[in-house]
Amino acid sequence: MIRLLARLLRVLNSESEPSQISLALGFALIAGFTPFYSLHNIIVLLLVLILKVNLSAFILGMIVFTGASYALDPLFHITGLFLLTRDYLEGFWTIMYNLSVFRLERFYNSVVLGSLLISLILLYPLYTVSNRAIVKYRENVLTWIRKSRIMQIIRMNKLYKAYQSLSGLGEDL
Amino acid sequence: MSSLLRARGLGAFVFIVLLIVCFWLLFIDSIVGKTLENVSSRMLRARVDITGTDLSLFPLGLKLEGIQATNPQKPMTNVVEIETLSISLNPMKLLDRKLIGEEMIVSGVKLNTHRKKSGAIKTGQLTSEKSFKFKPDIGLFLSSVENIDTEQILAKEKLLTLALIQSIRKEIPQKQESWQKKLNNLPGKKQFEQYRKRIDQLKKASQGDLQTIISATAEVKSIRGDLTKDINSIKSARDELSRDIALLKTTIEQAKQAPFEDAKRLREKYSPSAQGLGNVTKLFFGEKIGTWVEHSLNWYERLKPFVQRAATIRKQKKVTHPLRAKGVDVHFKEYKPLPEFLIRKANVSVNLEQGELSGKMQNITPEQDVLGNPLMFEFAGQNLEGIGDINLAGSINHIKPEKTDDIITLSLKAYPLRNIELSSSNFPVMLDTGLLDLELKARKIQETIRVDIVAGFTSVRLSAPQQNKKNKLAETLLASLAKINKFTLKASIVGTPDEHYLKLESDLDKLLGRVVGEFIQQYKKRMESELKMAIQNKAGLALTALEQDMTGFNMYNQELTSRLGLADNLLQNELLTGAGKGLRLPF
Repeated sequence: MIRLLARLLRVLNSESEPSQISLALGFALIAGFTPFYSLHNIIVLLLVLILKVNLSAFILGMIVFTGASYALDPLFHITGLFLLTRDYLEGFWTIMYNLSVFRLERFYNSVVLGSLLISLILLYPLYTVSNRAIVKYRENVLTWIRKSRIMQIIRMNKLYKAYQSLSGLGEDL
Repeated sequence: MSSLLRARGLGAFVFIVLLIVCFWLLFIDSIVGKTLENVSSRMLRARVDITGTDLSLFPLGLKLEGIQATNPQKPMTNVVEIETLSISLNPMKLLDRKLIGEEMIVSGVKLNTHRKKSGAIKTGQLTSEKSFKFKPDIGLFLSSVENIDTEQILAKEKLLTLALIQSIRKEIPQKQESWQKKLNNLPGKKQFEQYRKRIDQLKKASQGDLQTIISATAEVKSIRGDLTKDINSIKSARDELSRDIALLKTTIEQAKQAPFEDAKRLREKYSPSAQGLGNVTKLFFGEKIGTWVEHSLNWYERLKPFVQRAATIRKQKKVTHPLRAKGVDVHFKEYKPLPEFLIRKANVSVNLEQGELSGKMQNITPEQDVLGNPLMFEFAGQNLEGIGDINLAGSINHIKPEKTDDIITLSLKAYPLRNIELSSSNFPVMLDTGLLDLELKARKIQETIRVDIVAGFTSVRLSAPQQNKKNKLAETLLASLAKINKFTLKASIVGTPDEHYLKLESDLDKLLGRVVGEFIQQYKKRMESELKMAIQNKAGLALTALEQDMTGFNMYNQELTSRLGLADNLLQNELLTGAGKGLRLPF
């Protein structure tokens, strides 16, 4: 069972370009901040699966952003409620309210609207910043780790080789 | 393009979607059932059990079986038990997040059934109902006319009798002292002896010369004047004494009569009055009807969230708090407005012991303001075994939450009554059997309620088990109740849910009111007599002592009479014409 899961992850994690990891984090931001049972999260899931994004990064990002959303819920609520109660936006919201697809999306909930809007605003900055950070990390930190004496010793260890053969994740390091 | 897309990912997506569908098909029924149980239990504040749930997709509908809703006040009783409840849902409206049931069929409804397990919920306490404020207690009234405790009454009351006696007992010694002083100042034996000596000297002078005789005549005039003056002063004192004695005797007489006054006053104060009792109907039916009203109002408040959802307005927009979600939902104008939950039509059949009571309900929704129509219901039972007709109809109008208008009408014909406890106090009166014709109309406009009931009871048999046989009024009432075989009752309740007043009228008032009135009159007479005796016993010795004290005044009277006699004798016999005994003047 573990071997099967490891192979699945190996297949899905074959793309490891910085942009793929950053995009995965962006999708994780939307899915993690917004309530899980939202219509847009089905689209996010579809995009994550059909686009070549790093799934490990997506899952890890989901865990982190979902945790953060508990603390940020009041902010999402205030933002959403502020927008939903603006007079100049009432016409726009009314049109959306009368469309089934948006009703299913439950945009009229303060937390759904607030969290979706904030995650969409943060999507591009997060993508750009993480992209640059990964490149810098690989150029500097990862190269240094790989060349370090300790890592050389670890890589020579039989246990590590066994782990590599089992998980197929060794290539990433 | 291929560098961007992951072909296998689409398969994974389909796999996940299929997994969700399978999960739905396998577990959705129990999830829906448990959710409904939890939500309804929380709203009712008592356990709601659902034994079977079936959510079908084609056609979309929900079927619930074995619903048991616990009575929050009686955890071992179900307020309602429903065999099956099925709703056909509008699938298109589900996309709009609206649960619209075109038709609901509720069958096998039973009321007040027994539970095997307690339905009390652990997390919340069972709600306590507001109790009926007016609790007329005929038992209390009966016990108040059972015994007359004169000692207790006299111990805490100030008696006029005793106050008068005390006042007289103070006055008598003062008067006696005053009279003693007066007697000392009045002419007595000494003065009269001096008069006698002067008269004797005159007698001797009357045999002298002319000059002596002339001066004796002047002396006679002088003595006569002095004596007359003394006699007048003694007479005046005697009259004054008579007046004092008469006044004191009058006051003593008043003290003797005071126990009657005291007894009357205390009788009025401590004996119950027929007016104080109110009407007898209220004593028998007041608590029962009042409790029914409170019970109905409590249920009304409990069921209110089902017809009017709590909503607040924020910046002219309706904001509702969803039952289970974060944040708040802000609702906007709909082109074709529909509530989030609506059952357009429900057919309900209630299984009574006597047969089936069937009815229809329309527009069940907590958002009548959105729908624009009130909840309507109509139940009818005809040809029920042993019962005439039952008709229940009404409307719950919360279209404008600030202007609610709820109406319920109930009509019963020849409804059999058995073993109904009318008053639950120390005088429990049971309606053993009877037939009831009832017309009830209840209306609640905003916070104002008005309930009018006209009830006719026929073939009635009333009894009062476990009576206090020693209580004569209870016995009298019981005998009167046994003779009653029919009566009518009119009740009206007006006010607000928190403060309402009950008015009851019945022809029982005439019959039982007369019985109670006569008994109270007898009771009052007995009480007055007993009080009078008790007061007289208490004041008897003091009154006797007063009379003894009064004998002192007789002595003063005798003394004054004696002095007057002496003076009169001197004047009439010795000084004026004594016929040989008195002074004989030469002219």
